Amino acid sequence: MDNFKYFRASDVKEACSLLSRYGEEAKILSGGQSLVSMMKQRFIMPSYIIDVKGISELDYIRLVDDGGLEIGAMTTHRSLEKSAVIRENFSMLSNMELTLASMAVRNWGTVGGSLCSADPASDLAPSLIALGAQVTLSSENGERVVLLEDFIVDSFETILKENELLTQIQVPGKAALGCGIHTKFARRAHDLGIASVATHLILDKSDRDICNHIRIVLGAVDPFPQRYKRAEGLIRENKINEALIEEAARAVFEDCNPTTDINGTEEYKREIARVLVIRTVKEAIARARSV
Amino acid sequence: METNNEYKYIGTSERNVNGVEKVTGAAQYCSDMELSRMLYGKVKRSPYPHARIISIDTSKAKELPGVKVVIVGDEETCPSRFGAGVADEYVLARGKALYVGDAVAAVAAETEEIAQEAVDLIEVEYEELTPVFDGDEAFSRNPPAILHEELKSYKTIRSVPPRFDENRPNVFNYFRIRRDNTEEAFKNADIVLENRFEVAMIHHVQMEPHCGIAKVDGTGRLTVWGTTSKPYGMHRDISESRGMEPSSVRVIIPTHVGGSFGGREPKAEQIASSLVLAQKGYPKRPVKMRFTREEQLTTTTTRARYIVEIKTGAKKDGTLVATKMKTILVGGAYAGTGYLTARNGSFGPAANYKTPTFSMDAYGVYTNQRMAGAFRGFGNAETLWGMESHMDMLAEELNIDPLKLRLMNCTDEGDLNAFQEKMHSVGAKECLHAAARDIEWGKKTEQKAPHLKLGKGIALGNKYSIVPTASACFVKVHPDGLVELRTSTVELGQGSNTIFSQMISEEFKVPVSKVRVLNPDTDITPFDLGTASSRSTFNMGNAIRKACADAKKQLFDLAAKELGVTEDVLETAESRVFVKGSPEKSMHVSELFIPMVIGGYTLKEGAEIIGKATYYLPGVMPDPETGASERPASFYMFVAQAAEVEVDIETGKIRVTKMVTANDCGKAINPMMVEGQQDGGVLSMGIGSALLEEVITDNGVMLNPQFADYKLPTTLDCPDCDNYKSAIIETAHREGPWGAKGVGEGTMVSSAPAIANAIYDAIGIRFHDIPITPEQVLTALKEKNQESLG
Amino acid sequence: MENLSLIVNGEKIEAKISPETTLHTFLHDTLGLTGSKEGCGEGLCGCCTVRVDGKAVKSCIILALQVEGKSVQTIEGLADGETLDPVQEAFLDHGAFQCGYCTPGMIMASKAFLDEASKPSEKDVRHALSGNLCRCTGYHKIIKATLSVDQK
Repeated sequence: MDNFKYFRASDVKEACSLLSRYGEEAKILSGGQSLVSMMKQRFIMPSYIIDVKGISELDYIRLVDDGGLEIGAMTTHRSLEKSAVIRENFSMLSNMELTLASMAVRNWGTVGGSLCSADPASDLAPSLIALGAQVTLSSENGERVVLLEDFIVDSFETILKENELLTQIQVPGKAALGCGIHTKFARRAHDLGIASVATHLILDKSDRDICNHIRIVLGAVDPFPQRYKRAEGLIRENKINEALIEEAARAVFEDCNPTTDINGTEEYKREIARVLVIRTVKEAIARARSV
Repeated sequence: METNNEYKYIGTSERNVNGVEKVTGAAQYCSDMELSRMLYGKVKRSPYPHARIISIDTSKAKELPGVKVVIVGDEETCPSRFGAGVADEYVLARGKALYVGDAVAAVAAETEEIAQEAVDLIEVEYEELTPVFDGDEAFSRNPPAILHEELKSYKTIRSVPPRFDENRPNVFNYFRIRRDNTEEAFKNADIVLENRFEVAMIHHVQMEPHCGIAKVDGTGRLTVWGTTSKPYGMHRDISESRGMEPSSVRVIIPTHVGGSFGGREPKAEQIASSLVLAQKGYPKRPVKMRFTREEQLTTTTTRARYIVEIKTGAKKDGTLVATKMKTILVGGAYAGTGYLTARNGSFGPAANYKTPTFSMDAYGVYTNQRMAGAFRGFGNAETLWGMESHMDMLAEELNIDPLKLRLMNCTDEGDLNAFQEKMHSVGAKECLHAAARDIEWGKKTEQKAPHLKLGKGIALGNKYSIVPTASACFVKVHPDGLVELRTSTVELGQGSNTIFSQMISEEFKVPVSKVRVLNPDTDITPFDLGTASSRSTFNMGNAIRKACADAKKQLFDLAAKELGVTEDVLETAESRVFVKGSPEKSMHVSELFIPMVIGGYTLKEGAEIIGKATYYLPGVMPDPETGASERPASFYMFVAQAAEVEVDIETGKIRVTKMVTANDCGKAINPMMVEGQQDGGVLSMGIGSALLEEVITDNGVMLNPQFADYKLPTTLDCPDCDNYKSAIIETAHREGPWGAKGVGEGTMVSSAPAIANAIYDAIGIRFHDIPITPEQVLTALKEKNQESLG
Repeated sequence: MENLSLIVNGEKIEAKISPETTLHTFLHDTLGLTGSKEGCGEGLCGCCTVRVDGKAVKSCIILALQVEGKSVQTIEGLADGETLDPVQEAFLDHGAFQCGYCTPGMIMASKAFLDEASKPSEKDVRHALSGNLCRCTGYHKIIKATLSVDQK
């Protein structure tokens, strides 16, 4: 690793102030479970490190009045995994966390750090996007809230400005009314996925063959996690049956952009994405109907 | 396991004698060692698979503050080639770089960071040459590249010399077997089947990356510590490559080595030695050369790619009448111990089945990749991958159950194998029965869902142990009764220290806590061929028994005088010597020694009670034309494994839901240690080699040199504890210590075919290459569907 | 150089380190606690696993400065004097190690998991140890050893 100047921020104010000063050549360090490895391999060589892991005021999981969630950016993956509140209300997140990296990485890595490092094969981002999550970005100039699906814009790239810190994730209350299923396909259970799908849907109260609301988000098959709106539209606008689900999955098959690499050919990844969409949509519907 | 144990210490699952230090973090490994004023080494490596080295400019590197030594491959630093069978390698490449990662220069500096910076400042000018990677191409009479133009002029080892091929310039070894006339037999067979199989390159991935420390003391004597399994092998490599007298080199094992599995060629130790010896004047500073994980994965020896062609002829009733095989070990730029792997990979097929006619042509070829060859199983997992997949295909052709076909044809006590050696201690049938029982062969497991297909497969295997072989040891009886073993067998985790302690306990009737095993040190512990070929229990075990007998004789001679009896009536137990039948006529060992005034204890004569012995088994070298030999190996370990797999036909994902192994190891000295070998062989390397592991390369560059993409099985990739069973089959060997043979390598030579045979049972698709990936499965399923539709 | 103050195996440590020092390097090289090992340097093999405030972490991808004020436990700090921890005893009884290189990390991960879990299933244990690679044992005896620890 190259040399750098190290700062430790004890609260958000201090972090934002440091970012205003050094943001251009600085990297924010929270869990560092992606960053430190990349620094050791000299893929990233920042002149300044602003360590925000100790900002305990950002370590929380709160259920909000409307049934939604507020999650502080310094919350660890492990806290998310073990949270009773999340297990009860947003089990997709708990189940997803069980497959993420390993226990020790989850103990130290934070949800804020994960979203900001924007790995295309991230498991967290697709799940949160499927829930309609938003993120709060704070700076000395104030705060802004953006949809998570607009936050990540390319491989390892977000719209986070140099002087900003991601401080909170919000999951809307509406999401609690639906059922979400996340799954990934990988050679080994906890690997980054070759393809991953997070599906969240809400069935019509009176007609359980109608889906009023659905999000289908894929990870690993594009430069960044994305919603598949054509597939979503097909399901929202029609009566649900086997053929419709197949059609929606085929739309994903056609629309996604995987690349051939040592983990598989582009054709294979497409096919896996298609199969995972069918499986997650079916499971989400079955779950929703059983409630 | 059912066993009637008549011994006190042999056959018991004693706790590992090195256990406490390992579970408390006190165990020391090479990379943990720090010596005073130590320097740290780094290597400059070729980025090209085949290139002439035009020039090396080290000036900038030398000027970097903190850099103390910079060396390149030249006459002064690397005067001689060395190699296990053929001396084809310099410590640093001279003249030509032969693989991506070939070491061309090295630096020693105050810190690893400075050393690495200096390495980056070394400028090397190369002229790229055409490389050869493909096994068939390398094997051809006119290959695209010849790696060792002067191969015929290289020194070769006298005891088991390699055989080159006049017409094929990249062949570094050739071995053949001709038992009777296969061509005639094929003509008369009811069915003839021919297939080709391949195996991808995989890495041992010992958890401790390779490491070496070298030091020269005030008298100029070189001492080397390293992650080796063969102290005397390294001893020879280091002295021969520099024209040094062997006695001027000392090799010490730094107490513990983090695994070997056949893969510890001494590159780190060699380069560290050169970096120390290159220092002018005195005192010379010690050098530690610690390979990173990436260096280990990209530059150290691997299991080789293998091409296996097999043709068998059988009668309608399933009797094998002819087997003809051709195998090519697709080796690296230097043969290493792989020269022998190419030859000895033929032993497994030679001994598995009774075939009255048998023909084998086994080759090892050079290609422009890092060294490849020696790996757990030593070629036999690779050749048996072919043979045991092929056997199932034969079974299908004949419409005979695969288990029955194997039971019909497997070798048994007294049968002649393809070497025309009369087999002794053959547990094949028992292993097959045990594996079949534990997998519930013939019983179909209920399918959980329509897209999840289940299947079972079984495979038989065996692993020989090498001849010629020699192991020596000393056994010393201390004045306080402690018995000390001096052996050069390396404790790699397999439990050798523990079972040797048990052996000595049994001989001297003292508890294991009264036995000590010294650390291998070529100044102190005598010759051993190496901790390889699953040979230590048998060979060192026999040497230990002989040395114990020698020590006891000295003990009894001394005690006889004191007790006023003849030696032949004496016995020893609990550190006492007593008259058989009259235990009251006894004395404690300490009473044989005289306490001296300034301190310590002495014998009146003879210096110490120290038994010494060599167990030497030369065997009989196979006839160069026919392979015939009455003792081409010291013994054979048999194994049968069976697997149940679940195939997801929508994604191609394969899950090993059940796996069982039955291993014939002769007497199990310590059943828990034997189980440990079985567990690791099956669950890590067996499953890994079949389904997950592959060194993926492009133009000689490894594309997956880290754990994210080089996929070792994790806890979640193995069957649950209840779904994995191991059976120990004790087919005693008349020459083995208490009937023991060995077990280490027999544990994975039939894993891959068992899994592939299960996959065939599940989905009717035969794979000829490993690893079998989900994408390959899905692609094959879709093709099969299209065929049946179209 | 930056100041670092923390507790290691119950002992207060004050040090001056350069910021890029990882927790593993600090423990292994600076303090000489060689029990936890470098196995990959990327947080993928688990050989470097130690506990920070009781939780298992991969020390090779954590900057030492991040554990300021915290309590770190390494394998060397697990036994209570001469009395081995039940996890260590279980590993010895079951022969749940061979070469021993992954063992310190494996034991720390197992211990950290057991301290948080109540009546874990085999599946729970496999999930907890999925980040610790072992080449020698196939995990079989490790899983059995961990499950055998009597949690009071």
